[in-house]
Amino acid sequence: MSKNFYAGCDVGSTTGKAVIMNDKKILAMAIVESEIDPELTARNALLKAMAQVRELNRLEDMTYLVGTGYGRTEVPFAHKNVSEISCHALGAYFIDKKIRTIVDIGGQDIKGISLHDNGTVKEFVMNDKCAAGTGKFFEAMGRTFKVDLTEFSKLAGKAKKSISVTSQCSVFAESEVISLIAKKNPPENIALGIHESVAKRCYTLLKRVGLNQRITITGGCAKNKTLVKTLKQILKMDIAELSVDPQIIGALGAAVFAKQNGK
Amino acid sequence: MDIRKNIRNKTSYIFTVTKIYLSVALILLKRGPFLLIDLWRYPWLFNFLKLYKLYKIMNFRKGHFKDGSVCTLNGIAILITNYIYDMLKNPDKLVLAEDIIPPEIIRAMGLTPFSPEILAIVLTIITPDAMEKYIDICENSGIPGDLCSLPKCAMGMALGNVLPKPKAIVASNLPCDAGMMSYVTIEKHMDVPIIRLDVPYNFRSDRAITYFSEELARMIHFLEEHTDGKMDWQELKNILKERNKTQETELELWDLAKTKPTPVASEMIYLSHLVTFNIFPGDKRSTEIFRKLIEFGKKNLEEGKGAIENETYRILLWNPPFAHFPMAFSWAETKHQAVLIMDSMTFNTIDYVDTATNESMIKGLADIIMQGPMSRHVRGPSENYFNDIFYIHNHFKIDMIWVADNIGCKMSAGLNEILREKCRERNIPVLVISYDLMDQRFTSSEDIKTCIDNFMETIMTGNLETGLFDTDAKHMISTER
Amino acid sequence: MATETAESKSFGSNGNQMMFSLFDTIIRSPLNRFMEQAVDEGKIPIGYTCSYIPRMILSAKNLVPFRVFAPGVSSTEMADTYLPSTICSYTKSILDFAINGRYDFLKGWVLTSSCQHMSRFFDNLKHTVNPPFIKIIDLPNRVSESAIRWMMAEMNELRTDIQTHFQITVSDEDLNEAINRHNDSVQLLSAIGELRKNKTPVISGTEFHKLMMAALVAPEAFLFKPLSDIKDALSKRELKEDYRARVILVGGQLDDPAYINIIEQSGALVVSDRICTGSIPGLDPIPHGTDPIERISAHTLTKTSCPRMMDNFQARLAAIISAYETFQADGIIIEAIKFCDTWGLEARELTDSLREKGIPVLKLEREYRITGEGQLKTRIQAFIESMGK
Repeated sequence: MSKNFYAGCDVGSTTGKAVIMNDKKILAMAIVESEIDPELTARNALLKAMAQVRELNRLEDMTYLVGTGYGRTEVPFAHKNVSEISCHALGAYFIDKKIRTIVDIGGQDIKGISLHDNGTVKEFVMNDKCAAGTGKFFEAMGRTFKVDLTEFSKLAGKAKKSISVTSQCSVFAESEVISLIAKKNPPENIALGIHESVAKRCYTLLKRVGLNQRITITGGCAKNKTLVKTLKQILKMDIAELSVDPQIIGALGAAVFAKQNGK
Repeated sequence: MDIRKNIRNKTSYIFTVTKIYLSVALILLKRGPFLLIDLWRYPWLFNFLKLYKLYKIMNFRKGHFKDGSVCTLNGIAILITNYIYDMLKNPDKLVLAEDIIPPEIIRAMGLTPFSPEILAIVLTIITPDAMEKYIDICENSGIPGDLCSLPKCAMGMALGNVLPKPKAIVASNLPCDAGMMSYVTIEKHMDVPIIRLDVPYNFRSDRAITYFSEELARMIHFLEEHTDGKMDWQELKNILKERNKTQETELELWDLAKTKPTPVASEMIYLSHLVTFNIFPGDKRSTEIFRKLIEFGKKNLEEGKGAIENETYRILLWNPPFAHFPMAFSWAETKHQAVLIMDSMTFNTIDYVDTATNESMIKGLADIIMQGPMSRHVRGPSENYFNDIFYIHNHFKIDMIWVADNIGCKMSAGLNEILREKCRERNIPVLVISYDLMDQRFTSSEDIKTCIDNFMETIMTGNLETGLFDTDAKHMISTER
Repeated sequence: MATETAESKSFGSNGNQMMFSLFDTIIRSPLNRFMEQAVDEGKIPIGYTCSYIPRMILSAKNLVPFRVFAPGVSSTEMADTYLPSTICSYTKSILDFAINGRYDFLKGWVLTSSCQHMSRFFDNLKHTVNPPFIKIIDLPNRVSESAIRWMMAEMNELRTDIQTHFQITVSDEDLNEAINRHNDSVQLLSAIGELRKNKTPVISGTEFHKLMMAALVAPEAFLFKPLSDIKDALSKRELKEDYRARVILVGGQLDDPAYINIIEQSGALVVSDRICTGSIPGLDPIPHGTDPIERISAHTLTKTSCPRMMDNFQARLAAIISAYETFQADGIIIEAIKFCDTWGLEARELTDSLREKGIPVLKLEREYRITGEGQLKTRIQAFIESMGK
């Protein structure tokens, strides 16, 4: 009987994610808030996932562990670290073999990834010098409305029409939003405008890697239903929903790498 | 074994560095006690004296490639020391010439050229943070931060009063709008006579050569009027004849780089060109540097060796190399077995200058200036850019293109997407590295490394080593602003 | 476009709102009704982007010039794919409109290498839209005799290319006619502009800019009557003076009168403008002469004044100071679109030089599309207060 355990750990800027697999299936997954120390984030996420697997007691019991994400190099107990680009591609492809284009909206960057038919990365662009359109951007915008992320998405969902917010820079966007609020514009319409501006940013990145069906969205912001809906409208294409939590796709990809390397 | 090797490496480093410092000192000490005043007036001289840092490149190199690298660095160190020395010694003959204005005519007139842009690049290569202070002075004075940092350095040094006051300034509309506009600020601050040369957008025509030849004639006239310089056509002929020789030698070096694995690489190609053709064109010492480099290359060739062991990837670097991260290439050689073959700043050589008549010399020079570094590619329609890229790709058997996407260079960034689409059609991997030419605070060397690592892992080698997929397709990746 | 409600505060209540409504309609979208009519009549509309492109050549024979603008642009995601965030938003906006087919009525494009953003607009327009006729004019960065000769060669080439592509003959006579029409048109506008010198002007900057813009995007022939009507109506207009200061607006591309309206709503009447689509120095007629190509080339090169002309900073400064005096202005507002290299640096140097002469200056950075209205108003108001008005 196989007693192999493979783990992937995605140390992001706002959350840490872990996935544990055996040779057959996914056994556990966990998401934790990021700590200042990436190593601690990774440990917390892994321990939380391990708690769901009876046979696993210690990190050392892991057959093979792959780290990914922004803090991946700071995970000393990982056997290998792999970039989140490869992991998101592999994770999404593992779940759905028809995926050809991915947009990943993380806490501090957005990535557009296109895949070959065999799942390898074909092209890749990353928006990493600016917070516009990232999870951090949504957080900042939500704060302006004094609501959390879920509420913010719901608020935008209620809008009858959108008021466009064009500033690319999140700092300027914030002041633009404040003046729109001050002008007594309905908050839900401004909120929708913000969602549209992020969706347009995703669109640009996706265009740069080439838009091929089937498209999916990963990362924490993929849970934002209004964003997904808006992006669908802008792309004029459907967006495939993955059968697992889109936020753990990176960690899942890492776990699949671990499985391949640890065998 | 390792310890012995280590000691050997350290000894050779110390020996090389000591030798070069002695040579540099011999030149600078000719200033006598004035050197102290120079150091006080031009504090960036201290940055220059940190030359030893650059020599760390040799620690990554072996065999004839190491010798070639040291030879390049030595050549550069001596040429630049002389350049600075001339600047300090000849205040009465000093002409501030924007980096794109080649010094041939100025020297033939018995004048001393110096360029704040070239100083800025050289100083940043030696000490990555050398220019931060001047960039800050520039931006704090109300100059927009989104301009290319090279003209920001030039303006900052002028506003910071750390440049000698020249007798005249020669500027131009090259290489970009920011470079052109920076001389409004510099002129106003320095308050010296200035002439601005106008290079046409479509520079590849006889009409353009005629137009720009007239501009050069205007420049000679201006310098004769505002300085003690006098055009010595025989001297110009000597300079240009030697320049032709240097160019011939350089082309021989490039021929070596066509071989796979390449016996010559990296600084031997790009730094040697940068310094010789921009600072001392038409100087015997420049030709001599290339001759020596060819010798080292030929030795490698005879022994059937490449510059690096296991050459796996050949790089074409587009746009200026990362001035604040000169170690990028030696790092890429060790980490990824990727070797720099050619770059856009080097690839601007054109026909030899016809030295038969005064007119033919001016025409030849006009052609050279119009196709100077940067201008050849960022000016004019984008065909100038793409034709060279794909020619080099083919000619030098390039595996991947790295675009050094200097945040202030809007001219080249405006072509990134078209480049990506054209490379997609041709199945050429391209990496766009967002950075700031002169300012490491925007993208640090660590960030540049991560960006390259991601590309190499994901696209060039990545999925293959996991054994998951059975493809050998080449792909693309890039990071964006 | 916000110009529907853009009647300036100073003149809002005197029953003249209807006067400018025709012009409001013209500049609301690229394909205005006059342009539509011209197209129906078989005219050939040619888009152009810069004041250094001589519109007289583009209005000869059955050609109609159209100064490309992007009214009502909200976001530019198509253009963002091709152009980085450091390219100016005017460039991005018109590329976005072009890719989205908003200029499909144009039969050709004439662009210029006036700045690097525009050069790359040319490359990206060609790559994405690939219009059947597209030409870039190689514009010298200096004004000199040899530059004028260069420009003449460019103009002759343009004429030949137009003739070949559109299968028409553009004779010297046709060009002279076009020059005359152009002169008539600018003289009419100029006469209206002169009214702004009055101590109590009868036309606001917002209103004047509507006329200027309409004249740049609609065929000249259709506008003579409406412009003459406006000129007559203005002489009978009564004014309510409630502005606090007179300012001159200086800067690059600005084609939305709503921006000027925000300035005027904040209390600063714009009495003159040195902007690409403004009155200085765009309204000088072309002098008489024999060779139309020479007249056009010399006029275009010497009369247009953009920071891209390397040797002319002092001349530009002098023109602004002279306008400051003639129009009895209190201060100067300099606006530059963010990421514009030429105006970015020019704005800094102008600000310094004008302040040295004791002239109050407000320097503004803006996006092509109007954003941050609240902040803009605050800054204008503070500027007026700082002038002690």
